[in-house]
Amino acid sequence: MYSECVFSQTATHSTLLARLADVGDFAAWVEFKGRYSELIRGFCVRRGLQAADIEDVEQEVLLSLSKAMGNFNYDPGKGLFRSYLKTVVNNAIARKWRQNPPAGGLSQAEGVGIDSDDDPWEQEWRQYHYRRAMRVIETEYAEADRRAFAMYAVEGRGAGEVAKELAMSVDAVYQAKSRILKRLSAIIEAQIADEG
Amino acid sequence: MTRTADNTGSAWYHDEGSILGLARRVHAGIVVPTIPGYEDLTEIKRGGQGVVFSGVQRSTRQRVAIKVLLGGALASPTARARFEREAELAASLRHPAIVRVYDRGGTTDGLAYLVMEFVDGQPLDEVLRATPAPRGTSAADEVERCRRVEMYAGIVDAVAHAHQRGVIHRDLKPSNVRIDLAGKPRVLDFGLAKAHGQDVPDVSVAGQIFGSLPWASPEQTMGDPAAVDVRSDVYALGVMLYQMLTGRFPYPVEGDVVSTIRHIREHDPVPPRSIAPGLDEDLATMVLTCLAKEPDRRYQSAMDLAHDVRAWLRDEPIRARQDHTWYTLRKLLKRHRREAAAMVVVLAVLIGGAIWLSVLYARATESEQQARQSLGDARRELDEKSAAVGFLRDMLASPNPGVDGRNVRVVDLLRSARLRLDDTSLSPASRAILAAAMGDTYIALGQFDQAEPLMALARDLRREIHGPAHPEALRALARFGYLRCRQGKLDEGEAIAREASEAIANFPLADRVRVRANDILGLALHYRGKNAEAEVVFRASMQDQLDAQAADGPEYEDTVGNLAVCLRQMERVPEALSLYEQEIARIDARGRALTPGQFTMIGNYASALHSTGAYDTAERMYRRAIDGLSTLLGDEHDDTLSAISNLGTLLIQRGRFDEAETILRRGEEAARRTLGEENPTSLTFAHNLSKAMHEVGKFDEAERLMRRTLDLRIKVLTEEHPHTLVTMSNLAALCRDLGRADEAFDLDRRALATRRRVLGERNTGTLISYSAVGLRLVQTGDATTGEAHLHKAVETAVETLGPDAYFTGVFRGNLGKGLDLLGRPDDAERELLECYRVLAKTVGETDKRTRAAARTLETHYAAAGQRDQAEAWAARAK
Repeated sequence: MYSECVFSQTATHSTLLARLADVGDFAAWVEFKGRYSELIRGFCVRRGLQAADIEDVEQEVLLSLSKAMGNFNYDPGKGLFRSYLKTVVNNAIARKWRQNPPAGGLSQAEGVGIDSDDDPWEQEWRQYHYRRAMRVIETEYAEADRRAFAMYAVEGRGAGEVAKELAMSVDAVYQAKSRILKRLSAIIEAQIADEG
Repeated sequence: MTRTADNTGSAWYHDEGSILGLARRVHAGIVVPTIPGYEDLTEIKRGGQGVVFSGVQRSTRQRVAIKVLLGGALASPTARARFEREAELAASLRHPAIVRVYDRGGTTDGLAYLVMEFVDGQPLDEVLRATPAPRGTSAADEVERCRRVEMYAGIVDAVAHAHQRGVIHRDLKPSNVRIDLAGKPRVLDFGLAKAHGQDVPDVSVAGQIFGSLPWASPEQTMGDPAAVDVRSDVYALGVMLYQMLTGRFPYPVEGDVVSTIRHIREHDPVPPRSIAPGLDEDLATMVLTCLAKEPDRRYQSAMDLAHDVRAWLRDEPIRARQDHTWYTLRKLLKRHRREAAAMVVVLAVLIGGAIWLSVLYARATESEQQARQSLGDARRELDEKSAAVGFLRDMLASPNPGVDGRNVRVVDLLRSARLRLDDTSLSPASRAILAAAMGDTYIALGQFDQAEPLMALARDLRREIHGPAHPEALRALARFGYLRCRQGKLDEGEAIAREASEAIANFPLADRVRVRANDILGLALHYRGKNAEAEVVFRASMQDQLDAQAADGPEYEDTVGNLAVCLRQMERVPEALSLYEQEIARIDARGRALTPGQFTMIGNYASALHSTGAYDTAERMYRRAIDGLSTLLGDEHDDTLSAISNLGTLLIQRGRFDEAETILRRGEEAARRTLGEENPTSLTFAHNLSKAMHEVGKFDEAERLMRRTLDLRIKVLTEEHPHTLVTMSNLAALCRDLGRADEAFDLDRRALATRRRVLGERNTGTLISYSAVGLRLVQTGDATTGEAHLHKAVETAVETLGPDAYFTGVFRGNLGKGLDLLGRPDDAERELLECYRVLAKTVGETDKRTRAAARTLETHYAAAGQRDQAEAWAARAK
């Protein structure tokens, strides 16, 4: 029933940043918060921040962004926004640590990585895009296809076994994998293009 | 950041391997919190507010959902107090359509969490997406519209309940409503937005479609928490109703946030009837009243809205339009005209939802047929059923104090329904229908004593209404006889059924009531163990129906199905199979949707196939029956549970323990929910599930469950019951695998003594105990008794089961191990090889159990210094 409203890209990012300059602009604020709070919070968790500090960091990042808007030289297509956001978030976290040194280890152990780039920001950023894209997939694909993808492609179980368990053909399992992967790739590409 | 990321072709997101790596990492690298009292946490959803895990409460083994809130819920003392207060309020809500909050607290990482009831089902948005919005006026649209409004009514009731207790939701939207497996709505996350300090809508990424913004009220988009009250929820409910009826939002929400907010604040909604012309004015008025920009012009609470939704469903005037006299008049007229149609719709809605309405389902079909014979009669019948259905609906919808939400068990429902059977506003016929339906349900639950007064009441009422010689009275009498048979009062039961059947013989050929009475006589005989006589009755009834060319009705299928059950019990399985195959082919050829009774027949067919060892077809048929029955009747229904249980057993027999565990867990949960933990059916599931867990290596979980099952079986069934003894024996096997040989030995000896006494010396269970005790005796030095026990198991099994039976093989394996210990390697070798041969033949070479036999051979040859042989067997053990 929601076919008419599945995944549409919102405003380009340069406008969002411009709108953020007006701190009173509630709409821009909620949009920023809605989009990036998961990324910022996820990164904070990865850096071992306590819950009590995470909200502070998020607020501070938002404030820094809006202050900096005046002289921010935004150049779409170069991934600058992402680097800029990273800098702001890292600075906010560093300030937090100085005030309130973390107890215990800083980050959770990572699994064996496939990515060559082990910069934690890059990882969080990619995962963030993957999760966002997966939520789009959730609205676009039937549960059986999504489960086939998860069991066959992600968990690495045999296609025959998955097909049997989901009462679908082996061919349908292969198709679910390739269609969802292709779609994920396209969604992430669009998300990143939108972000600039 | 070294990547020049977005060059097409080289970017990581164009590489499938990178995406898959990411996927694996996201799914594996999730930080699973430790929450005291809960275990087996697995992530099921990650959203803007937090992450949802499914888990198991250690003390009750109940499955729960645990929501861990990301970020600031506990950030400051004020925030913590707010979280506590809101969570406390939410936890105090008890309503069947509100997901219960059981517990709350902070994780070791300082994140707030809530423990909630786990609702198996789908979010409302997915459910709605599965069928097109009912925009037109076709019958299908009408039915779908009614279904949706019925569902919606449940949601509004839930919100009204919360409002009455001072809890505002603040974030109502379809993804916060789950539709459970019974088709009932369950609203999630009451008070969570406030508890989480999110007084403003969470505008999130495209994947959550649009976060919460499209459902936010104008006052919520001002960002002023003080302006938000119950009428903001009413607004969100308006957006939801708009979506449910039209498939769209009331205003464009595809643009950016600014323009969406502008639409919410300033623009009138697109008139719903311009999108869905089939919508009547009442519904349109209700939607638009909810969506008024100024809170003062909306419904002032969800209670008011609930009133109108219910009124619409009953075709009564809604309050939002009550000022128009002409409208009220027209409404009355329309109500009269639509009465019968509405009944059918309500019935259709209920069938999807309630567990035990299968009885009424059959009745509806009967009503249809009767209508063909006599319109007047049918009309009266419909009216009676309408009253009965209304009664049932009220009962199912009413919150039952002291019994919470989803945990309402059928038996509890029945108990409260019985109190209302005395309702004098119901006609005697309606009361008779209800009493019989409830009686049938109690019979299905195995609670015969509870069924008795109800069946007696139905019988007496029918006699009063129609006179003793009327077919309805005779049928009620026959059912009473059937109950007597199930109660074990077989002589009396058979006599009553016979009396009814003979009295009814004067009625016209294949009258449906007559057919039913004969079938009941057949069933009575079947329970009496007189399957041959039952066969005669069923065959005569089949012929009767064939002569009257009534062989395409549901009665005929039932007769055939019952005959097949009798044949199977007389070990005439091939005949039973061919009956099933013919009948199922006939049903499939008609190309109609199958009824619950037909799926039950498929389940019985599967079980007959299962007994012949045709496992593949049996498995397929079980799955077909389970899919159909769980859709139509729910997982909790007796027939669904039987099929699930049988499939689980089949999978265990085939060594597919993982799959067995999954399906049995589903059945165990459903059985426990519906029947309670101490019900024999629930215990069978618990038993099989614990066995499957043992086999997949979940020893701790298996042991806990198995011990509890053993205790309950001793309590409910006594220690002498064969089922209790199977659990005892399985627990012993588990203890052996856990290295606790002495404990295992005690259990095995206890089982052996009771089995010898109760089941005799030739029972397979007794032999299993002989074999286990024998091996342990040899190990502990009692060679003479031990070897005698081991031999006895093998020799008796060869006679009773045959030399190639699975258990014969297993017993030989134990004997072989014993002989090795006794220093007779040549004898041992012979037995062990024979064991391997039999297992490879019965369960296959790759089965875990066969490989274990190969490993025993490897050890045997290694001990004998025959290295080559040992290596060869080691290879087979892999």
